[in-house]
Amino acid sequence: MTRHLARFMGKTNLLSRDGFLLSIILPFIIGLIFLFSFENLREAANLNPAGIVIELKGNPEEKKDVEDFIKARGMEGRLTDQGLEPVGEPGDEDYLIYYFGDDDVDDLLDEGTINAKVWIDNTGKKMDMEIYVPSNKANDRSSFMAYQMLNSFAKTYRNLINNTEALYAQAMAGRDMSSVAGLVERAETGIAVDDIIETKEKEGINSFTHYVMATLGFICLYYIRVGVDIVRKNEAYTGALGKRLAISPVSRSLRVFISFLTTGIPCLLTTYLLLFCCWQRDLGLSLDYAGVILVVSLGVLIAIFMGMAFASLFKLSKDHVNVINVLIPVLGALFGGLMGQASQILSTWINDNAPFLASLNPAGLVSRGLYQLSFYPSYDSFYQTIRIMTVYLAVLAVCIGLGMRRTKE
Amino acid sequence: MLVEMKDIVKRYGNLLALDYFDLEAEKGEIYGLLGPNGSGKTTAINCMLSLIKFDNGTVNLFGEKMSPKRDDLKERIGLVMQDIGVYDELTVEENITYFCGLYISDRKKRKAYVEEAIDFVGMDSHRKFKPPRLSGGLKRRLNLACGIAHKPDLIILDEPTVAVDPQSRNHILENVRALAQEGKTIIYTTHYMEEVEAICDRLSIIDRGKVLVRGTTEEIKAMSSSGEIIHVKAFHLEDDLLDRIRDMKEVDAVNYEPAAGQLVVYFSKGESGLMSLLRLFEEKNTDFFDLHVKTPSLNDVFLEITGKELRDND
Repeated sequence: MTRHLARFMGKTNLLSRDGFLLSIILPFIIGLIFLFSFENLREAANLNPAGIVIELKGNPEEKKDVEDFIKARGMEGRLTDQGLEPVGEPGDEDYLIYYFGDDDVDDLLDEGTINAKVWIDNTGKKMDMEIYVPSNKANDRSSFMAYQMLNSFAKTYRNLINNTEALYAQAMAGRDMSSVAGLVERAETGIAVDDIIETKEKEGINSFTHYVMATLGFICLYYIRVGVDIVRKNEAYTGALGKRLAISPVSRSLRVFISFLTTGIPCLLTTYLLLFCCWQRDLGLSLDYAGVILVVSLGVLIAIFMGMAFASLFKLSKDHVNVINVLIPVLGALFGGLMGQASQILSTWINDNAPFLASLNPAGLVSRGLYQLSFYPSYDSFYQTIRIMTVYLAVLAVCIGLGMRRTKE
Repeated sequence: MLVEMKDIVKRYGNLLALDYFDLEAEKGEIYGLLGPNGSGKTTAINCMLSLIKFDNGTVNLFGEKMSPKRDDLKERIGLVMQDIGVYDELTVEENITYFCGLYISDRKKRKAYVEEAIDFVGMDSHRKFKPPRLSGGLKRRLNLACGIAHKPDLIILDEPTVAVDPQSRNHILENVRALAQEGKTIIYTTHYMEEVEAICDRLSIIDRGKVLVRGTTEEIKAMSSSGEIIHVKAFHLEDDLLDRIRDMKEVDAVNYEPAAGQLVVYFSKGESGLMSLLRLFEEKNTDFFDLHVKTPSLNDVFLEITGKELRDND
C-alpha cells in the first residue's frame, strides 16, 4: 500500500501545476532572484575607508593598544581643508583613515568630509569611548562600519580587562590556575586584530551576507504552504477528492505521511540545489556543508510541519490558507531581517529583547544558524540553535499528532 | 437491513441540517433520496459514511455500527460524488488504478478490476486521456468508475448526473441499473425526480433535513390529492365545447385563456379523461395542435406538502 500511495502521490505532486510550480520551481526561482540581486550589495560592500579623527587620552600602554589596533586596520591620514587625506594608497585591509589629534573638526564633520570623531579615554579602569557621527552621515555605510569596528574593539578590550582582573583575583586567592589556562593565554597575548574583525562581522556589518542568510531562511519558511497542502488534500471537508480518500480503508495518518514524504523530499532537494548555487557563486555561506545542510533541512521541515500543524488543528478554508501562505513567510522575512535596514534593526531588537520570539521564527532560526556557522569561533551557539530547532520540530509533530486525531466539523 | 440510519440529528450552529433522519435500505435495492438543493441529502450521506460527526442517532452498515475507524466496512463501500473527485495529472486508467489500489492490494486482481471498470463505463478509447481533455459527461463516467472499480457492495451516488448532457445521463443511469442487477445496494441522491422515478425501487423525499414521505414511486404519487391534468393548445374554442368539458363528471376545473390558446383541464384523483376529451373535440369538429397529459408527479406531492417546487433552488 505504501508503495502504491507513494507512486501515485509522487506522480500527482510532480505533475500538478500547483505542486510543482508553487512548491518546487517558484521558491527556487525566488531564491535565485533574491540571492543574485543581493550580489549588488557585495559590490557595495567594497567600501571606501571611513575617515575618523581620534582624540585619545589615557595611560601610555593602553593608548598604544588602541593605536596598534587602529593602525592594523587603517592608514594614517593628514588633515586638510578638504578633509582627511591618506598619506599613501589605502589597501584592501584598510577600513579606516585616521588622524590622531584634538583639532576642531566641526566644519569638516558638518560638511560630511569626515565620517566620525572619536573620543577615547582610558585614564580610569574602564575605557570610555564616544563616537560622534554627523546626521548627514548617520546612514553612511563607512560611518556604520567605523562605529561597529570601534565598538567591538571597546567591548573586546573591556572583556580582556575583566579577564585579567579575574585572573588576578584567582592568583591572589591561591587557587589552581590550570583551570583558567585559556584566560591566562588570552591575557598574555592581548587583543588580536583578527578577533576584532571577527567580532565586527558577527555583529552584522556585512549586509550582503546577512541578506543571503535571511533569504535562505525565508525560502525555508515558504514551504509552510506545502505543509498546509499535505494535510488539506487528505481531509474530507476540502472536496470530492478528499472525501473519496477519507472513505477509503487507508488511514489518514498513512496518507498524510506518504504525502509528506513525496512532497517534502522534493522541497528539500530544491533547497539543496539553491544551496549549491550559493556555494557555486560564493555568496558567503559557510563551507561547513554538513552544518549548512542540517540547519536548512531543519528549517524546511519546521516550515512544513508548521503548515501541517495549522491544517490539522484547524479547519482551514481556502481564504485561511491564502492568508497563512502569504502572511507567515512575509512576517518571518520581516522579523528575520530580510526587508531592509529597518527589518534588520527589528530583528536585532527582537534577538536582544525577546529571544523567545526570535526562536519562534523559523526564518530567523535558519539565518541565525547559518550566521553562527559562518562567523562564530566555536560550534556552541550553532548547536544551541540546532537544539532549539529540534525541539521546535518535536513540538510541531505533537501538534500534528493531536490535530490528526481530531474529527473535523 | 444493509443500511440503517436511525434518528440522526446534525446541527451546524443554529441550523438543523438533519432532523431525526431515518433511512433503511435492503440488499440489492436502489434507494433514492430526493430533495431540493440544501435539503440535507449530502449531509445525510456524510453522516452515513462517518465523514462528519452527528449529534444524535445511530448508523449501521452491513449490520454493524459505522465509525471512521471501521476500515472493514469502508472496504465494502463505493462513493461517487456530485463533484468530480479525480486527479487531473493522471490518465483515466491511472486514476481508476489509484483509487482501486486503495482497496485492492493484489496487482493482478486490481488490473482485472480496472479493466472491468473501464469497460463498464465505456471509456476504453479514452484510457490514456487525462481528465482535462474529457468532456463533462466522460468525466462523470470516470468519476463513477473510480468509485465502483473495487466492486463495493454498497454504492453511494451523490447527485452523479448534475450538469450532465442527456446522453451521458442515460449512460450513467443504465450503469446504475446494471450495478443493481449485480446485487449491489445503491443509495442515490438527486433533485431530479425523473431519475428517481426511472431507477429507484424506493425513495424518501426530504426537505430541511426531515423525511417528508417514503415508499415506492407509485405509493408516493398516490399520496397526491390531484389527478390528471391535460393541456390543450387550441384557438377559438366555442363556449358550447367548454361547457361540455366542464360538465364532464371526471373534471374538477377548467381554465381557458383565449389569447394564449391554452386550455387546462384538471381531472379528479384517480380519473383519466383523455379519451372523453378527445371525443368531445371530434364531435365539435374542433382542431387543436398540441395536447399534453400530465399525471401527478413526485414534485406535485412535494409541492402539496411543502408549498414549494423540488427545483426551487436550481
